[in-house]
Parts: sequence; structure tokens; C-alpha cells
Amino acid sequence: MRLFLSMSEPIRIQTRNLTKRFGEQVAVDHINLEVNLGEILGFLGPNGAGKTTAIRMICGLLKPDEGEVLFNGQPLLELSQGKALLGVCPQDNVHWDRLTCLEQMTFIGEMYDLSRRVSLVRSKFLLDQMGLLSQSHKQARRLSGGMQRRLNIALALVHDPPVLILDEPEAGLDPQSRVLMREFIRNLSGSRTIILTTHNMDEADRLSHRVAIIDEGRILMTGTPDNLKHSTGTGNQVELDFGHPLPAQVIDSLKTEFRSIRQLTTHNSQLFIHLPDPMKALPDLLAFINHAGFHPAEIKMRENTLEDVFIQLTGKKLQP
Amino acid sequence: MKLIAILRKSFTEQIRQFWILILTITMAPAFVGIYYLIYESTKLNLQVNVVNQDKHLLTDSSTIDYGSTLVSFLSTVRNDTMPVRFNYAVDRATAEDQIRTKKTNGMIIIPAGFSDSIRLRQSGVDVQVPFEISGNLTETYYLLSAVLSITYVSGYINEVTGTRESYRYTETAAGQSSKLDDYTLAIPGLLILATIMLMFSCTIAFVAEPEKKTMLRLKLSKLKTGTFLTGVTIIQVLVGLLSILLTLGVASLLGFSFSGSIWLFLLICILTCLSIIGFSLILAGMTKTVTEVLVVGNFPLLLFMFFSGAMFPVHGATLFTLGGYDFTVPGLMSSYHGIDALKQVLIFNAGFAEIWPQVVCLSGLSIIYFLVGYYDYRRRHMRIF
Repeated sequence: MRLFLSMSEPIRIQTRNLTKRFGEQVAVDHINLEVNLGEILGFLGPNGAGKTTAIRMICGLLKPDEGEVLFNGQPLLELSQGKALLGVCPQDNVHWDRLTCLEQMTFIGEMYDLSRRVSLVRSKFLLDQMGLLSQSHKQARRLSGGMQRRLNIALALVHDPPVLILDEPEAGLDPQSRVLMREFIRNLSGSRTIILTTHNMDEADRLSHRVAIIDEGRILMTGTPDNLKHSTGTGNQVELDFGHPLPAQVIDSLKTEFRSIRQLTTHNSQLFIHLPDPMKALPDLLAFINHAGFHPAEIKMRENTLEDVFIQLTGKKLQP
Repeated sequence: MKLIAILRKSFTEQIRQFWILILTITMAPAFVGIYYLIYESTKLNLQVNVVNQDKHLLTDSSTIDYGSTLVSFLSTVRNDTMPVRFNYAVDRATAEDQIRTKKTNGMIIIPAGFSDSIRLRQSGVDVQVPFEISGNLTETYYLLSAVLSITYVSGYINEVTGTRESYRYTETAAGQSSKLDDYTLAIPGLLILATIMLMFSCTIAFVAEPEKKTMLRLKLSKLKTGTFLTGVTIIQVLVGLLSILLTLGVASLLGFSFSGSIWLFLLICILTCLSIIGFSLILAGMTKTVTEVLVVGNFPLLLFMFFSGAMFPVHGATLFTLGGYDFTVPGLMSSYHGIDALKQVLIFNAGFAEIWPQVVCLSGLSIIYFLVGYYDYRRRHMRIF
């Protein structure tokens, strides 16, 4: 689906040794990131990890102490499009309370040097896409929280930016709106370079082509969600419930027999086995247990999630 | 125990609401200081011009010139209780101009037949010796100077004639001051008060964008600080003008009669609005939220309301003189010049030639306020790189 009247040139974003210090504290520490053309990059990190500072530098709102941000190999200010190539949807709902949806959309369009007519056409189109066309003439303060959130995203897109930075786009949305939003963002990718910052791992997993995890100002890991889930942590989990505790010697022999097991723990009658590919290993695993004379009453499987990866990398400790 | 907990919580919150606490406890002492600086720096010193139009008389043996003698007498007068200086002025026009520009508080005109009347009185003819006093009847200091003028001149006449109640004086109002009542006199100040009240609405308009974070969208759109501020300023000038015209309309309905040049009136109002908007920009650069504006803004608002002449006349030490117009300490507040210029236009029917120094001061202060405000606001709220 072609969402816009005109498409700008696709943009590739690179950061080179991007660094920002606030006094003694290093908020962003030599970050090297690449966001490819048409890619959605999930930018994940705990509170205070340096996400917002990095994003502000990418947007040109904050001057790096070291390093640079390049758009198609050039610094932002040297590009003819300048800041117009960026569309930003902040975490908070940022809109003018006493302007109607259409008024503020066209206003922002005009701020980006669009003619009033083009601005109006785009505004109506985007409001329609966001399910807000019927609310066009309603003041923003009278919209529900979910509608304001959708308006927040629409405002970032009026000027048809090739780069989109979405900060927690699904925060505060009901399930229906989340589905609509996800579809919308997916449709935007391909023609647009998108950076998605979120704490919602499910959102990042579903939407991102690649994920970068940042903590204490440093990038800890970058990769596709699947790769991260396979390569990081203790793998997928198989939970077997025998109704009674298993003898220790059976558990020990399981560890010896199956080298692919990354972690094995017990809790009362339950046995938790973490391994990278449980579907492949499960038949042999069950055969071994049955042969030892035990039969699980219940078997559950849970895939390693991005949240597991995130916790594994950033730890469970709360950020200071 | 709950009471102690409440006390502890209230105390902690109060300490941490830094601006509110500081302003609450320092505002009254600060105003005492400002009041001292404005009033104590200008000790009362009444200035009265004496215009001698007397025609001296020639007799066989001598020249009778009581006018010149009176001028000499007055020049030696010293009054420790009520300091007054009588100065010689070459003609009436010069003396009137000095009243208009507030160089002097009043004038005494010794008329052409002054010596003749005294001579007749001395020879037993029942005539009263005339003299004239003049000034801006709306000025408090004129009233004091008039009383002192009458006291000294009548004393002199009584002494040289050797009689009592031997004088007759007339009082002439400068400009239209005789036609004005207290209500009418208050109107120029109240018209400027309408612009002073812009301070809150204007500062809030500047601060609302950063507070609501919509400034982020404007910054991302490459909007220039100057463009944004110009847009807001134009609307605020219109709001200010609307407020002034509404004030003028209500005043007219209640008996105020507009006189003077409408164009000069509008020029003064627009310049005063601009200067207040410029000052609001400084305030906006110092604050982040509407709540902060309401707290911090009270201080300059009260200062502009009560110490720039909007509510009652104020005087202050002269810092410098421009085209005969004294730039005083209260003149650091732009509205002072707006009020003075409006009084000149509405009371004295002054033209541009008479009020250009006030216009220059207003424009200069507006530019200074805007430059400081622009720098401060941009640094605080619109800085991008």
C-alpha cells in the first residue's frame, strides 16, 4: 500500500563513536549503530541506559561530545532535506490541546514548508489511516488517550519523512489500537528507516527487523530478534511435571547425556530444562526419562523471549 | 504523631519549592529596598521659574522696578523645611516648556503693571497688586510650589506696600490640566496598565510550548526562533491593543474625553506593548512552566504596576537627560515612558516633537528587552545544533 503522495529518498543511518557526557557521567559511550534502508531497528534498554540521549543526538537536538551521525554518509546539517527527513513520535503525547486534529496536522505540515493544500491532503489521509478522520474537527484535548496517541504518530508523518523515530508508540493503547498501530508501522517499513525505542519486548519482537540493546551508554548486542533469542541466554524452556520430585541421579545423568542442555533446575515436582532446540531434543529426552522409569504428567514448552535476552544482558538489578 | 508527620512533610515540601519560598519571603523586603532607591534618591526639591514682564517706572529722581527686586528677593529664598528654588526664566514660553518637560514644578509671572500697582498701593490707592502662578494642576508638586510661591510673593508685596491683603493672584493651568479631574488623570496610567497586564498572557504563550513539549515538534521542523517569537509577538500586540481599546471604550462611556493625536496614541500603545512583550520574553527565558511564570512573574508585574506610574505618580533620580527629558530610575521600566508620553499627548496635546525622547526611550528599552529575552529564550528553550 502506498501511504503517501510522494516518497523521499530512502535513508541509511550510521552513528560513529557517538558519545555524550554530562559532567562525569558518560550517558552515551562510543555507540556505533547502523540502521539500514527500510529497516525497523528496535532500540532497547533499561531506564537511564542512554536511549533518549542517543536519539536526541540522532535527531540533531543534542550535540555529541565525540563522534557523528551520518544520514546516507552525510551529517544531518549538510543534507538538503535537513531536519525535514526526520519524523519523531515522542513517548509523551505531544500536541496542541486547543487545536483540532486537522488544524495541528496542517500546521505542522506548514512548519515543514508544505503548501497548505498539500498539508491538508496529507493530514486527512493520515487521520484516515489512524482511524481519526471522524475526529478531524475535534480539539485534541477532547480525544481519548488512545486517540491522542494515534494523533501523536500522525503528527510525525505529515511531512512524509524518510526516517521515523518512534518512542514507545504502543504505550497506553488498547489491544485493538495496538493491532492497528502495528499494521501501520509495518506498512511504513520498507520505504522508511525506522528506529523504535520501547520497553515492550513483545512490541520490539513483533516489529523490529533488528534489535540493538543498550545499557550504561554502550551497545551490548545487535542482531535480529531470532538470532538474539537463539544465541543469548539459556535457550528455550521445557517444563516437565512428574507429580513428585525426581531422584538426583536421574537429573545428573540427564545433564551428562544431553550436552545441549544449558540449564537444568528443579522446583518440587517440576523439572525445568533450558536448551536451544527443544523440539529436536524432546523425543530423545522423554525416551531417556521413560527408560529411567519416570513419566511426566504434564509437559510445557516456552520459547526464549526477547525479554529473557534483555534480562540476561542487562541484569535484573534496577538501574540507579 | 500524624500532626508531626504532616509538619515534617509540609516543611520539606516548602523548602524544596525553592522559587515560591524565596519570592514569598523576599518580595516585601525587596519592594522596601526598591521604594527606598526610587524615593530616597530624589529628595524633594521644588523648582519654580519666575518670568518678569514688569515695566519699570521712571520718576524724576529714580527708577522704580519692583519686578526685578522681587526676582532678586526670590533668588535668595531658602527654605529648609520645604526646599524650593526660584529661577529666572527669560520668557513665558520657556517657562511653560520647562513645566511640560517636568524640569520645573510651576512658574510665577510678574505682570507688566506690577511696579505701577505697588506704587499706587503705596500712595494709598486701593488697588491690589497682581501676579500670576501657573503649572500642571494635576501634579502634586505643583500644588506645593504654588503655595510657596504665593507665600513668598504675597509676603514681599505686603512688605513693600506696608499693607495687608494687598495682592491678587490668578492661577493659569498648563495645557488642559484645569479641565481634568482625578478620573481623567488616571486614564493614561490605566491604559498603560492594560499593556502591563499582557505580561502574564504573553509569558505563558512563550512558555506553553516548552512546557507542553510541543516545542520539540517546532524545533524538529527547523523553525527559527525569530519566526516563532515574531508570530507570538504580533498576536500579543493585537491582544494588547484590543485591551487598550476596550479600556478606552469603557473610559469614554464613563465620561473620559479623548484628545490628542490618535496616531501618536497608537504609536505609544504599540511601543509599550512591544516592550512588555520583550520583558515577558526575558521572564519566559527564566521559567519552564506556567506555574513558575505565575510565581516569578508576580515580582516584575507588581514593579511595573506600582513603580512605573500606572497607579500613581512616581519620581526618581535622573540617570541621564535626553532632549530635555529626564531618564529616571523608574524609567528603567518601559511603561514609565509610555505613561509619560500618553499624559503629554492626552493632557498637553503634545505632538511628536514634544514626546520624541519618550518614544526613543520606549523603543530603546523594547530593543534591549527583546535582545536579552531572545538570547535567554533561545538558549533555554529553542537551542538546537
